Amino acid sequence: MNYAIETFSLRKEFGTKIAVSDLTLNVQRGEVFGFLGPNGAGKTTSIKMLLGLVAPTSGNARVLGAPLGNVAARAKIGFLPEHFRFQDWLNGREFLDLHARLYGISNGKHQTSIDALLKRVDLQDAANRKLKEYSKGMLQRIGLAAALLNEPHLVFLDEPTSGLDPLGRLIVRDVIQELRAQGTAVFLNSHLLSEVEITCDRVAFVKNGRVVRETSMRETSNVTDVELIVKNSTPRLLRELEQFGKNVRQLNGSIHLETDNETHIPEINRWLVAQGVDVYKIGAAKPSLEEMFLEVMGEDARAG
Amino acid sequence: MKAFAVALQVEFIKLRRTLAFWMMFIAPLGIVALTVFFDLRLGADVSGANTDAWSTLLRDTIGFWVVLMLPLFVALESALLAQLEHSQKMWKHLLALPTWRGAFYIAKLSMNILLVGFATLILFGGIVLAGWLLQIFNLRPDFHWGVPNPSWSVAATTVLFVFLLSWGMTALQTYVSMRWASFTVALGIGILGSISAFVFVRSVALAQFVPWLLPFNALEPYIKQSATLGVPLLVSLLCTILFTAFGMWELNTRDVA
Repeated sequence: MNYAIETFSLRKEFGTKIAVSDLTLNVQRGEVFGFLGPNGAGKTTSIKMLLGLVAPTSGNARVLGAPLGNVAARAKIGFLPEHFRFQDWLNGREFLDLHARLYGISNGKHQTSIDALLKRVDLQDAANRKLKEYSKGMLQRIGLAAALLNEPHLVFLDEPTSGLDPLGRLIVRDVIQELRAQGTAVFLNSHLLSEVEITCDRVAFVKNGRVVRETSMRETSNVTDVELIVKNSTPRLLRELEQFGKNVRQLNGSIHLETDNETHIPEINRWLVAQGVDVYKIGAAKPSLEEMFLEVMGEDARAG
Repeated sequence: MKAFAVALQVEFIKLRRTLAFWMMFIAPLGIVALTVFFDLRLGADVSGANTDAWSTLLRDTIGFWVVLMLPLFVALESALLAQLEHSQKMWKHLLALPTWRGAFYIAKLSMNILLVGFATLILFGGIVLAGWLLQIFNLRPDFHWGVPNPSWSVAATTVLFVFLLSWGMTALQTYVSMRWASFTVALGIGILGSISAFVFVRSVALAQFVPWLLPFNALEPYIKQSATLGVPLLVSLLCTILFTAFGMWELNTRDVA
């Protein structure tokens, strides 16, 4: 498998502090990968190691098939750092021009790219305004444009929707979808779990500097958790529901059971109605990313 | 080489509209104005039929520049240029780009050297302009403006050597400014350097080795202390090589915060 990112037991210590203890993960090309964890879990240090900004204490990794810090590989990487501050005395076009030069994009080509990207992030009208006059959302969008200047094969986005209004978030989401369609891998670090849930193909939960769980956001499970809300649930009703599935239980005012097929849901509904039970809600209950996050992180997430 | 050219180009773009750019004009022209004021008010040396106003103006202005202003100017410009990255926390973004880290360091040092070079040139231009204006407006009829002795070519060579001898302290201050994010550290060392230049200015021996005082040696044609330029030039070159090597090594191995 040709991975965009492969890490093997990557570890980083700063003096006696262990920032990342054992990072092992793979990100496929064209995949949108969410990197989640509470504050201090080692996410930023992990990204810095992958970008060659911080040297690992041990372990190794390959990014776009090259060792960490490889200059040729970095030419195919886009990066939007968290809390990215800008040379705010430059205007939007000058800022992108500066980055295009650093990416080594030829002068003729980079003007075309700059125009297209300014349009893509909806800043063409603000191109000649100084960055100090930009709103927080506009700065985030010009930063995103800079990260895409080199037509990257891999993009690191560290809190890309931070400070963005709903329209700005939609732009970022659309850009991520386009990148995926182009086969670009996206490594997304965000605290906005709803955004991650919508955009990511797969997520990894990081705790104390190691990946504690990876889960696909697209895969279909063999087991469907069905959630029911009925008027009067009785122990007898719960027992009789076992004919449709297992692990029938009552949770926070609703009944849950696991079936091996979603087609059982209409059958359950018909059966309940035939029994004279008033049904207020019935459907497949998929745990939200937030629920998964809280489950994986436990008390750390609440404290973070 | 291409990476360096690109990094230098980017330094020029970043320099636009910054204080570092304007300081290149303010500092030398300020010294010219100060010297003219000083010579107009107190300039007994300048007046009289037997004195040479041009040489005195050149000596005083370049003297003030190398002892009073240049060490501070270099410290300030180095700190301002490095702060473009430190204060904006731009290092993590800049060093993630596909350019060799050393190229950024060399570009920063080169920009610093260029700023000092242009400032020195502006100083020279300012002296000529000031002398010309003094003649036009004839503010002091007792000043004697003839052909300068030493000649204009010696004056130009002096300015060139001031520039070349400033490389050592520029490399030192660039290293300090790039290594430590604190503006205070960079400027503090610059101020210490300025004080040492002021204190040791009368010592011909020390003036050949103290990096902040090396440019003073270029004034030899005007002050005649029997100093030679060979040793100071060598010290300046060694300082440049040494601190550039330190700086590049440090940046290449730095864990970016």
